[in-house]
Amino acid sequence: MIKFRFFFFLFFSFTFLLSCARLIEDDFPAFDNTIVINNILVEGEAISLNLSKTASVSAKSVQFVENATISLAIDGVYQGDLNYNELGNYYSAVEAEGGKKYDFTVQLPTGKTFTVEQELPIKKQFISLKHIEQAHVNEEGVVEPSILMQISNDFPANNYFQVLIWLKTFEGMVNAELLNTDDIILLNEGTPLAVFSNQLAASDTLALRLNYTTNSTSRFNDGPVQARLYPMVIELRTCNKAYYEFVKQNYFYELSRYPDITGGNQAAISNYANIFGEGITGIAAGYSSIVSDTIFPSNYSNGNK
Amino acid sequence: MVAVFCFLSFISAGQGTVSGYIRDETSKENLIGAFIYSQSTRQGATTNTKGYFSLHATAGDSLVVSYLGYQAQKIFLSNPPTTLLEINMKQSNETLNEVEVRAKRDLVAPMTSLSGSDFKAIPSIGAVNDVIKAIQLFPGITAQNEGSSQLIVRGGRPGENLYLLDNIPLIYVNHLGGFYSVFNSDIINRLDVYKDAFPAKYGGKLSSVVSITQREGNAEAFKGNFSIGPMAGSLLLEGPTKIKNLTYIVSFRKTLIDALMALGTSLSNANDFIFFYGFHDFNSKITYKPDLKNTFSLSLYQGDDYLNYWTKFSDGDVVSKSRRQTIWGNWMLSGQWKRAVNQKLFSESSLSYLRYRLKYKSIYRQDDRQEESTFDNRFKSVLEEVRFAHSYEQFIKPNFSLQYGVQASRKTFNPNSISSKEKVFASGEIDYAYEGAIFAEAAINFFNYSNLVLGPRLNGFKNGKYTSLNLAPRATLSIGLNRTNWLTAKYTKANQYAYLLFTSGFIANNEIWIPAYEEAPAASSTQYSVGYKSDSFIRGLNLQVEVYQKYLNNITVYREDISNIFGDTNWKNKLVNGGEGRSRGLELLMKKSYGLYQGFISYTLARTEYNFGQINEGKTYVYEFDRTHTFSLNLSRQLNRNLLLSANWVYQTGLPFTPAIGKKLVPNPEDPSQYNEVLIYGERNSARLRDYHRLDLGLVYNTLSKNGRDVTWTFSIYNTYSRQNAYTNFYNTNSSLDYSFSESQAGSLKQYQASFFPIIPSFTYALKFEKGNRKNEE
Repeated sequence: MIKFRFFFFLFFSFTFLLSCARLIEDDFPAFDNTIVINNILVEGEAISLNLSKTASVSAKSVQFVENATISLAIDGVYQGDLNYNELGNYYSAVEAEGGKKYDFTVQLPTGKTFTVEQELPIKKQFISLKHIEQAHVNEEGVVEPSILMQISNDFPANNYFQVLIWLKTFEGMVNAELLNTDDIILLNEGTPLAVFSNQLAASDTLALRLNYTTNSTSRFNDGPVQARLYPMVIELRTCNKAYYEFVKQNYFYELSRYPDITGGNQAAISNYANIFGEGITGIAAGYSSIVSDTIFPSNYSNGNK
Repeated sequence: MVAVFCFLSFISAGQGTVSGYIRDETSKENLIGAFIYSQSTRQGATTNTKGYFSLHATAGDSLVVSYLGYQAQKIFLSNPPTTLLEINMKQSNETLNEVEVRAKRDLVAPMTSLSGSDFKAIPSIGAVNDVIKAIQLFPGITAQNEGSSQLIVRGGRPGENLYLLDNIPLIYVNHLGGFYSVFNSDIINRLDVYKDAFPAKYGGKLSSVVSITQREGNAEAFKGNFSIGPMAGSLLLEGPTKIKNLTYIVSFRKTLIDALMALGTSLSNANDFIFFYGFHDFNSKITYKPDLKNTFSLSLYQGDDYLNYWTKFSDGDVVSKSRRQTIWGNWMLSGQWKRAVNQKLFSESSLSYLRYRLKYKSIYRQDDRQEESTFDNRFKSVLEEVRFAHSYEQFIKPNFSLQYGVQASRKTFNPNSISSKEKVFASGEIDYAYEGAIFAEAAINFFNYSNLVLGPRLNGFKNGKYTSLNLAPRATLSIGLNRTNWLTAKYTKANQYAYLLFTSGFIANNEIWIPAYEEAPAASSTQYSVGYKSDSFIRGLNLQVEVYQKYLNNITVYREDISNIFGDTNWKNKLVNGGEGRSRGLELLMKKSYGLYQGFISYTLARTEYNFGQINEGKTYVYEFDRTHTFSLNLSRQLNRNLLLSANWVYQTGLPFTPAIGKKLVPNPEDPSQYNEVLIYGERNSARLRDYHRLDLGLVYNTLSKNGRDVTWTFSIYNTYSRQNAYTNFYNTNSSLDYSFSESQAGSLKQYQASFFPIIPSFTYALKFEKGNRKNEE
């Protein structure tokens, strides 16, 4: 995506000086009549489900549902009830596994019962992974890095992926932003995220180029100004379709959450939900992931002081 | 039709035809819409956009000629002339009286017509006369957002307006994201806006026709005009040439802030980076009139906006540079030939080339001595059109005239091409489309004051395997109650074969045009309206009232979650097709064009809804630019010969927005063990921003410079009482527009509005010069 961030910054600064904000409403009606289910499964982690309620726009926080009874079945085999922990979280001792189907039966304190189901995909593998330290240039002339990767997929069956570039910075693990995306598969998704399907795959190997930025610069051996590089690990998440759709719609929600006065006004878009019922909403989604070995850029030891 | 024709032949027996041009005495500019009236036959005619008229008269007839702002003339005909007349009218310094205005009779005139001088009486932002902003004050026409020059006409979308410069279509008509229109008012003779009942010769857009006729240049003396304001400066030159009957007019307008921005950013960052924005437009027209029958003209328009961001890094002898540039705008070149074939037949031919392009490039050279860049990334979106049009206007009988013609164009769409050093995407996605039309339009006057215009138009389009053939008829029936009052009924059908994809509020242009294709077939609109029109409602006030209903079909837009398709080879799956819209409204315009106080009152009551299968879960929703009530009041007062005071007051219902009704938890996509609070939205566009209103004041002061040149100072105050009009609403824990820190701030969410246009005073200075003619030397 082409961005004119600096121009926007200047224009924003100018309009900011001219602009003013005015309070329109601070007392919103109650809105606590809907149960919210969040059932995110991650392979290798304890199976869990979160129950809360919707709240008024101006509410300080949402309320959690604490006295529900939730039973779990995996591939149709009953596994017992989930245990309540805190903050609306219900846990099982069983860890989620890829390739299995999970069914939850939720009975609320009011006696109302409903079911939630989803299937966790089997994780796909990196076929190759290559880090390019000088790959593209940002709007300030800073040379930025890129990652070339090949991953397996079940072509022609549908697969969904999310890739996270975890930089090991001094402040901790930071997910790198993509920049100057020119990869056909990523462009096809319409977001600046590394969240994609194998819709454009022509074989069981999917090749991608992820141009990214570390949002930090350094100069090395009197060369050009370039991105400060960090050791990193690459996480490949093989998602079910619901998780893929959730991540994308969450991005669109965030994009429309605040008006971008220079970049175009998006109509407000609600966040994702795939659980619907009378007085019920929520998300049932999950993924299986693998994480690469740590990649050390060549100039890391000398360049990042 | 044959019976009517015979009847008209009968009643016209024994009469002759007078035809010719009505022009300004001093400049020889065509006077468009001037009225000429035969006292013996009691027939009247109005000059067309070429200043041409054809009128039936008798021997010994008296012709009365009138035009607003000019002295009325009476011409005696001993015998109807066999050649063309050239009637030159003298400007009047006196305030027009009511009788002259009431003599005007123009049944088929569009609801909104403005001449160049009308713009002076409409104050605007930046004290720059902006024709597009001026017509936004008229009923049925609104701006997309505050400050924007994008037109929303009767619930249509910005890409559904046909902008014509001397009958040649232009694609991109805005500067600076819509804050300025590309039409330099210095060169405009006349502007007509059609919201329905489009003349049959116009097609290809669904919602309106904005036809701008440029001036031809002063035929008697060299003249010029230089003006400067805070935003831009412009220069206009016009006059005759050494070649007899060859005139020229040239105007150039350019922003002045480019250099200041470049200098400011450069100095503040030790030459490390330069940033500047600017725009320019260049209009030129050469007109050759070898005789009264023929007029040849050649026009060139070029206008661009540009955004530049350059950086430089020095390290010893090595200097690395990056260049980022975005350019967007039009090129238009046209040649036209207008010919009065005989007293009853007028022909017009044109051949034109148009190119709209949006271009972006990012280049980086690690060492600026290297010829080859180390990084080179480019994007472009182009629409080119080669167009031929030929038409006739035939004045067959006193009460019957006919227009007919053909149009053909070849369009090249390259909507979405991106290239880099390593690879080229989308280079093959060029669509060659062909669009053509044949049309005929018959105008029949009957029962003294009544009129019927029938305009069938057959449109054809071909883009690869996709073809479309559509009949787009238009009809207007005006029943004259008496000399100054009419009832009208109109039917309009239109087709559109290219779609504008854009994101509203995007300050740098992101407008991309795509052709109709199998999955996004031709769009159409059907419109019905009835109304009442009076040229003398109360003491000579003009009144127009219309009720309309408009249906839009097969609309194509971006998907709900997409704001651009830059570089995306699979862009077609980012679109939503098959949209339907419906707009209904009541419009009222009351206008006073004579006397010390002049002005108009405009009111619109409207409702527009859209339905797209993939937007808002397929449910019908209120159009994002729908305004229930729109009211404008314009008033001007000529204080004396040198001072003109004017004011606008505008009131509009606030734009719709989608309100939050609650909030809930969702997982964090990066770490789903964590949860975020997110808003839950209600029905799309089910709430309204606060109502909008503002008062603009303008003062035009004409004086003489020290060396006797005409000088005009134009002062304007936009939003005089600094109303905080809502640009948008947002939810935050505090009123800060810096949202980046809001998530971590504790507290309850509140709803705020953001406003961006407080009181804005400004001025322009204009100096007129004329060869050998200084007022204090007279």
